[in-house]
Amino acid sequence: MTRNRVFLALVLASTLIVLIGLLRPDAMRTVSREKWFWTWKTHSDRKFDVVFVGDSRTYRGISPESMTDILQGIRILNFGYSSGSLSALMLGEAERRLDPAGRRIIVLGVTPSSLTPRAARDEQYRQEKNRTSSEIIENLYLSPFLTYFDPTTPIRFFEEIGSRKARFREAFYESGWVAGWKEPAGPPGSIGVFANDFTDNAVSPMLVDNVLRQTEAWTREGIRVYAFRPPTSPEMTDLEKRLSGFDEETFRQRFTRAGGVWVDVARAGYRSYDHSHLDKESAETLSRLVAEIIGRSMGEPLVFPAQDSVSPSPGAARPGGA
Amino acid sequence: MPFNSIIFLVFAALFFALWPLAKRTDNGRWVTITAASLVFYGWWDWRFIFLLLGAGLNDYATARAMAAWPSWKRWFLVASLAGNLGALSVFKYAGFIAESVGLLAAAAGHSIDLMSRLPSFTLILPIGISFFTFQSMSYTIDVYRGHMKPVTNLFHFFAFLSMFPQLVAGPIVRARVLIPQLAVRRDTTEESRWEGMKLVAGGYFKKVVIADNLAPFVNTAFAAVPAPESSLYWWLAVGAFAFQILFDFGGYSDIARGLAKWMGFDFLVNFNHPYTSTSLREFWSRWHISLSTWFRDYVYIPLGGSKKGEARGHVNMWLTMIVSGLWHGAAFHFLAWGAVHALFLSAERITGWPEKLKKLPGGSVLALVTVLFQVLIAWVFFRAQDMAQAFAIIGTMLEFNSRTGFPTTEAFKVGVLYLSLGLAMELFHFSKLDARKWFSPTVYRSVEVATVAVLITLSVFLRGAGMQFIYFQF
Repeated sequence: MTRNRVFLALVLASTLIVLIGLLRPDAMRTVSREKWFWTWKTHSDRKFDVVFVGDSRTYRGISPESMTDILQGIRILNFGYSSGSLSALMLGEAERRLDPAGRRIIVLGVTPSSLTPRAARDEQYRQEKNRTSSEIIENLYLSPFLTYFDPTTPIRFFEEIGSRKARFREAFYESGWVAGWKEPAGPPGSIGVFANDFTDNAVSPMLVDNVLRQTEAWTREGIRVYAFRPPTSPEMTDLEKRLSGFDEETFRQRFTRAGGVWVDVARAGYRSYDHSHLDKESAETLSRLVAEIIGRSMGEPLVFPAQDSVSPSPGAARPGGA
Repeated sequence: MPFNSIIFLVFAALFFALWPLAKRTDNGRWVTITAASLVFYGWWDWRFIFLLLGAGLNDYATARAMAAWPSWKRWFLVASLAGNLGALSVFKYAGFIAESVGLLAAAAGHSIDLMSRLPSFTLILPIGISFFTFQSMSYTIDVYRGHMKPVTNLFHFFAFLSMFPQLVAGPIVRARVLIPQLAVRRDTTEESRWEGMKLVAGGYFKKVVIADNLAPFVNTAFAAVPAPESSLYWWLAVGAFAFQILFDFGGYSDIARGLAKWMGFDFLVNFNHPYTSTSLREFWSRWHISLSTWFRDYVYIPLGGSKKGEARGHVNMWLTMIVSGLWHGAAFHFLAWGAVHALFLSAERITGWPEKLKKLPGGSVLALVTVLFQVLIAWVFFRAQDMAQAFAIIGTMLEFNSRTGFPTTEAFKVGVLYLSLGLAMELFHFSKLDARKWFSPTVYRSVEVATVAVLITLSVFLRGAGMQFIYFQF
């Protein structure tokens, strides 16, 4: 045995790292992509024709890729964040991403949670915004090369290699969309984890008023404002109705009076993997429906792919949006 | 630049490629360490390099002045302490002082708002300020006491003050220990490089695997609104924090010691299995040793220690613990953390319970559990966002209720898993098991190599979300 133990340990560690990196399932490689995704979404200075703003139900439920199947040539950004709000900060940031020479459309993903004081802290957005320049450089330019070294947890590792339980998968798109699904398909789990979301955290009338004031201001400036309530499971809709203090009908009427266009997506055919967020397939269905409604209201030429792009998913749940 | 970043790995690779050449001459050694350390420190915010340089120049000059004009040395010491404590007051305590004045004035029926008048730069805490000011103060105090002679070469002094492995989070290395090591060329051996390798690999494992995987559970628990009402949940959460902070800070210290070994220097152990202590006094001889001995030598003993009567000894100990609490952060809950430890230490001194308990069968285990109970209660004050949250959490813990129904998220499960691992590691040490006895020396060498390789591999694939080191905020 050579006397240089440092060298030996490094050679052995490198061999183990290469072997594990090669043998482990691809599904474990999402961390670097996720870092790149959030840094890009927050710090990119690219401009768009249409910007969606809202919380995780928006960024998981709206696929700009599917929308551009129908609204071809239109640049769409999904600017949703986890526990994101429709606060003045986020509305202002969404507006900054519009191309002044473009079509100038903002679409609000209105969920009860996005109008609460806790969401208005916009913690994820602020965390991403406050990253240091070296973190930004690392996440944007180094992360894409580091997927091989993406970490996992022992629990996920053993689930991945030994369990038949449904596993959560997600894919991150440059458009700001995060597709989520379970593989193999499985039950959505307990809704209990959402039960405390509205404790001491009901919808804030101040935030609602601010959204409506901003809608009026944007309309005056020639920005078209749309809003929709991202569909969710019936159980979640019931929970929000009981606990959030959100009155969708009143909001819709006031929003329309402020100059906005309400996009009605309440229909059968959506499926949630966790009671709250739509799965990939349902997100694509919803996105095509939203594209179609917005396109018609704008008088845009619509292109429909060969299949029925807005047909309900097989095994569809009850409508969850309204 | 944090140790757990890619940029640091690049920096360290460049430094250690250059080091064998640089260390050959005195100036080469000192200038290289100083330049590299300033790059390392300036990576966060280059403007604070001037603070480090200013503090260092003040202490370098005052120490030399003490030697040149011995009859004035008391005044030069005052100038040194004023510079260091002044920098701490401005950058670390200005907000706390302003808030406290406001609260006192309000209690007396007046309204004084100093907070809004503070300059904005006082709201930024320069990273590592508490560490390098304490390290620097130890130098001038030791020169004042005649324990060492002042350094004549400015780069020799700055190599001591700014040495990057321990600059921002310790261990606080005394001038008497490091300056003589820096004075001569110190070559490494295969044994010392291997010792360094074990420390670095183990340190990274503690930090990026254990501490960073405990962090999401701890952060979720302390940010939860409303807070879960289960006693079990909070004992687990506070236990997770106890091991998070041990492995976060202990990991950093190990990496720092390992890097120093590769450079040819020796830093003392900073954490020595503190959760295996069977008395609180023992805990403080094992926890953050470089800081607790600093406070012992430069605060507690100069106050008179325990040599001026029992009552005065308690007062001195309380003062030292409260100052130690405030060293960690300018907030009342840090002060409370120090005071709670002082309370438990006073009770221990008066009753002598650890010695009495250890005489009983199984007494050592009971003593260990009792110390852990006290330490966990105190940690609540340390981690809580404010006093109200601390009391609410302790209230729930001490209810010992049987409520469950708390969220068993993935972060919770992963947290409990790593908490168990941390506990097992400390129990292994407490049981006085020694792996060296299980193998022949030759086989043990191979086992060690394999263990280090596995620790590196696990640090790559099981690392948690890259969290900042907790002690950077102090």
